[in-house]
Amino acid sequence: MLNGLSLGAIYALIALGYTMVYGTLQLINFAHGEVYMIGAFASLYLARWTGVEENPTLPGVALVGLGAMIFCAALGMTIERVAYRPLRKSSRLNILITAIGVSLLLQNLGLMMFGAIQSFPTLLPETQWEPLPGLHLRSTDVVTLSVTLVLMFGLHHLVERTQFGRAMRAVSHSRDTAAMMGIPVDRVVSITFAVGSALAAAAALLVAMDKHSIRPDMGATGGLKAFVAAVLGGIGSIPGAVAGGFLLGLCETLVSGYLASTWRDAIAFGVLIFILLFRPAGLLGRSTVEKV
Amino acid sequence: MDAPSDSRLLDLQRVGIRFGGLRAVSDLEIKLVPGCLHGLIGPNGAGKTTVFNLITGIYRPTEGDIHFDGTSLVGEAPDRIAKRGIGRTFQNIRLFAGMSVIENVKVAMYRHAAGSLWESVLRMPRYWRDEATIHREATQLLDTFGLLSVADLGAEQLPYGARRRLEIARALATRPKLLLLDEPAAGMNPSEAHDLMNLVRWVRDSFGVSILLIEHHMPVVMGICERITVLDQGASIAEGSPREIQNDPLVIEAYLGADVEARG
Repeated sequence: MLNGLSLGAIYALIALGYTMVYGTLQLINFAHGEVYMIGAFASLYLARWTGVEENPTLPGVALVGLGAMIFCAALGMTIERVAYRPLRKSSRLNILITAIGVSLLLQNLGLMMFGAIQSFPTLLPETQWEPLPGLHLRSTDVVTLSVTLVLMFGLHHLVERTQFGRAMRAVSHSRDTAAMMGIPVDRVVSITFAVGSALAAAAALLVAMDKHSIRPDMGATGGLKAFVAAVLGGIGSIPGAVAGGFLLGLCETLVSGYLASTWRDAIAFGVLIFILLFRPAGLLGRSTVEKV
Repeated sequence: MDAPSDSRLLDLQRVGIRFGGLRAVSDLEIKLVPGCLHGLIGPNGAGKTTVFNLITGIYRPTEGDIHFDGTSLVGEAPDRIAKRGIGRTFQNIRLFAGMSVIENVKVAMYRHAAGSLWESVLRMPRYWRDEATIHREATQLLDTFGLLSVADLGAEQLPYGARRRLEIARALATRPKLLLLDEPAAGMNPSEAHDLMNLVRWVRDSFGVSILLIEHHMPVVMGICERITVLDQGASIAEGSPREIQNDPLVIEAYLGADVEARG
């Protein structure tokens, strides 16, 4: 159960990046999965260079995470600036194809630079305990869940209570109107990419610490699942991404626990299709009303 | 030559725009002096809203120049133009749905009171001070427009007239020198339209803004505007006081025609 929650938390963190970018630009940023992958490798190399790998401490790990988040934030902003912004005025299909291109480019660059698969060191002590009979707690799950919750509350505060959050919501409602109200749309979009990418980097570090192996194609599967979670919750909706992430994670874990892990993806995607049949806008998505 | 150009807040000089082969606007001249309540009228399809889109940078003119406060606006992005002091409303109301009434006003204050992202994430003191200032100013503005009691409602839940007023309040929150109002009385009955025009005049006087106003109701425009520019088929055909406009043969032919004669 807790397993499923922490897997869901990871999906949710990555899904937030998809949904925020979709909200502001109506663009599915296929390169987001690769930003997540690079977040994992950035964490690995940062841990190596700073010596946290040999001598892991809690502040050290936090610093590695922060470093990876900043690195990925810069990467996300660069991708937006270089690949998407020049195409802002062209058709959405062109930008979509560009996004797929950026994704493949980063994935292959990753293969070239990082090789195939690398093991990720144990950075935090891993224990397991049983506070109640039958309830097993793993320390990695607890870390994952608590970090995710903190990040989500931070994001919630940012979006709901700050001028930047209001500007982001205004831009996602109408870019032109927002600009005419003096909101610097380009900067808002740029920061949106930065925040989404930073969340993906945090997710990557959490996954790497749990699974102990990272690979250049992890962005493809992880990214796809998170994208599914975003659509499930209603793409463009921030609470939707969180709900979708947790739902998908729980579904997968329950299926592999009670049925067989080979059925996991089939059932997960079956749930997606089933929900979209009845709620085409996703769980918490708002169906758009055509403006007259 | 007419008045020196530095006495004008807004100066459109032979402005034109083509969409493909179509000339939507050509030879457009508007001279707006500071503090003026200036009307822009013309028959349906004359290009009035296109003029607003040209001034706010949504469209870029293919001919001519637009000067605001002494420098050209041509080629500037809409958010820069808003920052330079031009606020607007829309013919079909464009509030940010999904945001509350007060948030619609607050977000328009982005430029002049926004702590940096780090300050807001880390909840630094300056961020709280800024938020407090924004909240106070937004509250005042809503109070002025009689919208304080509905501050926390969703903007889309307001009745029609209140949404019109909220749009004006939001535009004022950008602290404009020039306010562009696109048919603010559209869809209102004569008495509501009359009240709204009193509000418009009051806004001009108490906020010290200049106003360029598109309006369909002729009596309303004639009643409150000090200067009027008449647009026909994308070109300005006359500019002057309401009396001059009413007696201009070109205008009568293009637009007012029998209507004015009937009213005597």
